[in-house]
Amino acid sequence: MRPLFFFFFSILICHSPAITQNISYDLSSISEAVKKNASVIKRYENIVFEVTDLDRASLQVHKVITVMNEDGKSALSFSVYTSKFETLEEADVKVFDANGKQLYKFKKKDFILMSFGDGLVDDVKTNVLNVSAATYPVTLEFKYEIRFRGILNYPRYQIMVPGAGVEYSSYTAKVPRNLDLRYKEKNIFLSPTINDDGIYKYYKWVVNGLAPIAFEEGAVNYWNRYPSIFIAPNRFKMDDYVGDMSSWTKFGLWYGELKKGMDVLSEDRTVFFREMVRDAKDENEKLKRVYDYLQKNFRYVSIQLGIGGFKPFPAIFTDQKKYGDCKGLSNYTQAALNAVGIKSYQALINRQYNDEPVDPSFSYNQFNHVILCVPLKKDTIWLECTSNTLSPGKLDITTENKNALLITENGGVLVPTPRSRASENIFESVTHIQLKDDGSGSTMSSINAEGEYKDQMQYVIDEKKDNQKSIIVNYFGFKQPDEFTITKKYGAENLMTSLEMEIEKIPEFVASNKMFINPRIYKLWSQKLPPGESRKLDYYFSFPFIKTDTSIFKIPEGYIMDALPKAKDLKSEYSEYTTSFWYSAAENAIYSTAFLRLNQHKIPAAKYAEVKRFFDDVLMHDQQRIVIKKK
Amino acid sequence: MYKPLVLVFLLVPVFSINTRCQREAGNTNLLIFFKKIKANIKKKKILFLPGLLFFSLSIDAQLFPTFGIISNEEKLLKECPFDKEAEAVYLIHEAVSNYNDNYNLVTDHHIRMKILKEKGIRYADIIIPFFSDDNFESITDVEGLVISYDEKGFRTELKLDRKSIYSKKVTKYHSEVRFALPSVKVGSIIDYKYRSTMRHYGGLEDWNFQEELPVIRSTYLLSIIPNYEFSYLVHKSKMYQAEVKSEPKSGQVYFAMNNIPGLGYEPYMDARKDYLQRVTFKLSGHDNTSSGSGYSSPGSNKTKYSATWQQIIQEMLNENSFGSQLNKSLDGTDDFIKQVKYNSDDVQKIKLVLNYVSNNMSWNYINSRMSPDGIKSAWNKKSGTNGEINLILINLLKAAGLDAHPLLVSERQNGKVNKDYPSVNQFNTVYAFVIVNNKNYYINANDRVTPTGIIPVDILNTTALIVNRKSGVLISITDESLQYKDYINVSAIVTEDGKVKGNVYMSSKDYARAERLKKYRQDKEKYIDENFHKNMPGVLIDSFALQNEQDDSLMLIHRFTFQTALQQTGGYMFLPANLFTGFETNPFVATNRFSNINFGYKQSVSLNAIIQVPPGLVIDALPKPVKLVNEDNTITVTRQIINDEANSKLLVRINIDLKKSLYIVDEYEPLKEIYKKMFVLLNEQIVFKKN
Repeated sequence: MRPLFFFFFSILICHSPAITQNISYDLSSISEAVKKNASVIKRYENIVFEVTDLDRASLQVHKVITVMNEDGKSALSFSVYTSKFETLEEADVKVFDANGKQLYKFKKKDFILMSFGDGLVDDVKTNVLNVSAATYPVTLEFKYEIRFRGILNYPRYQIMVPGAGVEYSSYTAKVPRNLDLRYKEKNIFLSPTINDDGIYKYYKWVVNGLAPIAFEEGAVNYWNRYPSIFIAPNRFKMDDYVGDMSSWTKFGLWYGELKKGMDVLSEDRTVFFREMVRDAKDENEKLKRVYDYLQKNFRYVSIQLGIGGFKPFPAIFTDQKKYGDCKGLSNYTQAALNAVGIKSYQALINRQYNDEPVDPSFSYNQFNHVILCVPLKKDTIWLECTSNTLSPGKLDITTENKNALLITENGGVLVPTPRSRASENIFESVTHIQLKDDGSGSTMSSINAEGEYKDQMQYVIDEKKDNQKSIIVNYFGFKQPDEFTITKKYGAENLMTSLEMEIEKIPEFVASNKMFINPRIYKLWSQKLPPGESRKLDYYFSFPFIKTDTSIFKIPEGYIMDALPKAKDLKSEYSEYTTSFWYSAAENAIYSTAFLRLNQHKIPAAKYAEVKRFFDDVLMHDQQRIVIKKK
Repeated sequence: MYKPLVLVFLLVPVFSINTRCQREAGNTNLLIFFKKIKANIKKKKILFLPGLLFFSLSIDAQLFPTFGIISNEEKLLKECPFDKEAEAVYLIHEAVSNYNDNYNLVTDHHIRMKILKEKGIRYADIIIPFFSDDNFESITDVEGLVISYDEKGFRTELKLDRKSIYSKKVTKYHSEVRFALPSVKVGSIIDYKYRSTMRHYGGLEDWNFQEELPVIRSTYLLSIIPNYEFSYLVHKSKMYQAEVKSEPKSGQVYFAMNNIPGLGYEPYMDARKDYLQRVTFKLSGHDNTSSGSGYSSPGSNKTKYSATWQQIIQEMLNENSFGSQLNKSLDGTDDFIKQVKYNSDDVQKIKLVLNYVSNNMSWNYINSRMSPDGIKSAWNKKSGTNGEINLILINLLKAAGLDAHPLLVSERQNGKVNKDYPSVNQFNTVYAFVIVNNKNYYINANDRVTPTGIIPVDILNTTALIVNRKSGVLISITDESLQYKDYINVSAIVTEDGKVKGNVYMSSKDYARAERLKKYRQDKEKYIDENFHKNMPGVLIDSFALQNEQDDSLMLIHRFTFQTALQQTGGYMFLPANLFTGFETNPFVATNRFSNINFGYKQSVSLNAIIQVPPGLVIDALPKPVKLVNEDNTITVTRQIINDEANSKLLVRINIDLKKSLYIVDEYEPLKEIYKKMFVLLNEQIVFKKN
């Protein structure tokens, strides 16, 4: 998985200045609704965001929170991201005990400055303060200011975070009239009061007494699912690049301007690519050759510099270095395709499997990645230019099911990326097991893997042998082999792997004259889903899939079948599971088959309980045993 | 979806070559040479001495004459001859350290690597860390080349572009120079060099011959600053030859090793450092008859050298950021100390002070043995390094009238202390050491889970130094009576329709208490899930409660109820016998092993279960009574399942005893075998059949 290519920070938890006097630290004043199940309570929050020019703004935050118990201790760690464009001007943090007595205070110099991000090169830092709590509840008061010199994202008003109740919170945005701003409520109905003094416009949102919303595992990012207000500029400026975000079209024009002239190759490289595709029979073939060349010769290196990570390196540079980040590699691929007469578009996207698609009705920058979109005559092909393994036209789970912003000559065009399909992620396995009367045996599995499973199998194949063993045993749940060989058979769209093993003990256990054997020598499904009866948020699987298994147990001389698991046939709106078992007397073999399908990766909260039951049943059913006994 | 795979990869790396480092518990595993080197030259003469290396660009070429020159053998190399699975290999890692006119420590490095597999291409992204605090170190003169050959053997060469070299500040103290070498493919050779300049020889670092990747040739040439004496220690396995040449006249010493396999991480590995083929250095003397020394140790102006542990104790006591930090009065603690003094029980005093410090101080993510900015400042900020927090603890313990001293420790992950080689650098942090009623207390205020009076697991079976003018001494910290101890009691009922429900009462003692509490506090849900849900798919855990969390003199008690449906097949029903013991996945799957297996402590887990069987079910098969014992009797697993038909009850008893905390690498093979047998045995189930 590639790290994200550029980071855009909205301040995760925000707050601001003004009246301090009347903040009560008294817990008894908090209403029961706000307090119930809250590990943290936002007592008071006043955020003032002030824009003075296209590229000048400040954020002042004043916030008081009470951490009720140890579950809320993460709120005691506080961090602010800063970069070339954002600086932390001052900070003042005070800590009070349950009686409102001040324990200690911190200034900006007490913050620890650490570099942030896992890219090879980036310029973002985080300023961290960790407060220790002797006892709970403990109350923290924050005051700080952030200055922006160049601003693309106006700070989001994150009203709620998981597990935290809110007593009072407000956010005021002050913006020159001629610039103005746009906003969109998320998961809350809340209108601002709007004032206008002839020079500035003032937007103010206020909330009171909000009960906490619990954290739920497997949900989308909280900023997409918890109450917040997205706030966006109309016009903005980063370094010398002025842009307009008031529509997707215009935002696309800005990015188009940034990358302008970057997609030019040298004359000889143009000739090189033309030569490469000279005898290709059609556009598809040409594209395949270019993409294949890219995958074999270029590598992904994360370099997050330049206009907050937006401006790609020129194609000539990427061509020399044979490496780049997603912008650089997409830009280069575009240039190479251009050279052979294929038109393509760079496309901005928010890369994360459980992120929501960006909102077509509200142009707002949530992008962290670039891919390439190639509209061919018959079909539209998407290219993930940072991958050395994906087949042309395949995106992965992090960029499917999204809206991508195509950068065209006429500006940005929002286009949905392909949906994840179960039929594209296939794991098909056939295993022959030769069982001996001491319980040992040799096994031979043929595994056909496509889509995400192809990547997984490729990963295994490329590992060192002891790592392979550990993955086979601990991840796929195979019995621990004494000897094994894993070989790649062939692979283009799919990957065939054969796995041969010698296993000391195949049955789960042997008792007197019987052997109790799992229906398969590995685990078809092993993920335990989080509790689900009263789920409020949609659940995200990594990807939809189809898994099939056929296991043929040749049983030893002198043994016969005693009992077989019952066949199962489970169906739900989102999934399907069937198994069957039979005994072939002629071969003295037991056949065990299974089919498991998940139709889509996103499960609506209301349907989650049903899906959770389904997968629990699958786990349970997989625990059944084949029983054989001595004649 | 990729994550589990990556995780597996990180946790269980592996080696194809088993270089059997000899080791006995308590000793360092590697053969060691111990030598002294000294430069018997006066400052003024340096400039005219032949053989010494001076640093200007023109001499660079001579420094690493092979830079950019690839031998035919290197060109043709397709796989590492002694590690055929290696993704990449160091062909050369060589360095030369010398001093300049300002007595700076100047080290030039040259690294040549060949990429052998697709996965190895990532090694072309280079990160060079350095100490940037107070401009102590700088990295300059970075040059890089990528050399590739086409099918016909024609060479292409690409230079690293200076503009593509970045510097990044990582923490207050550290920075990194980073760059990606261009146009790297499988078969490419990357060749790069750089210069590190440190303000003085206090920054002299260990030379590691061994890396995560295999190394074909590793050499280091060190020139010692005049009038100073350094000693060095070569740590190496018997399997390999190391070449050491020293020239006392010029104050130079040269080290070389060939064909060293890579060393990664393994489960229950203690300190990776202990297994590395390496040389360590230490300043051991200073010729005071001459003046004009350029060397001073960091944080003080005094010349520093240690020959005995007693001298180290003296030095530490005189150290501004250590000894001088032991008698400070901390703001606002007077009232608290007064209260503590009312208490007549000294152990109680320790607990009160420890609690006070843990609650008031948070760790700032920096490890240290000393207090660079002073503990008063740390106390006022309520945040400090791990060392500072314990120095604060020592101060308050002393203020409370206890006989407390600093204890320099090398936590298990930091590696073994070599007793014959006195050096403060062997320790990574400081704990508090207190004697009450002839009992030793080892206390780490950052630990928060180890019961007072129990040796913290990180220093169990390690060597530490008590820093005290009168009674300071090197001690071995060990206690045979301590172990990880769980008693699990289960009473359960099986119903005729194939369900099982029951109560669990589990008591955890000593390290079991500490380890469980630590994980529980990190994430309660995850703790319950990983420790109890994982045991039985589909199980419902309810009424979970923890007792004695606060009172560390008692066992930690878990209580919960569970309920699940039994597996059924053709009239058979299955119930696992291995209930909630925590022994579910075998960590020792790898065929090969390079390092010792250090569990940290001895373990004992016992399960007693009473299972009520309904009249409608008969027992079809019971796992046999078994006693599994390894050769030296240090591992025993016993299982007994008694069918008490008269009372319709099954009595299940499982005991798992691991009586040794450390197994040397040579014992891996039998250990792996017995673990495999143990997990097969523990997986066996009770089979019921409908009557």
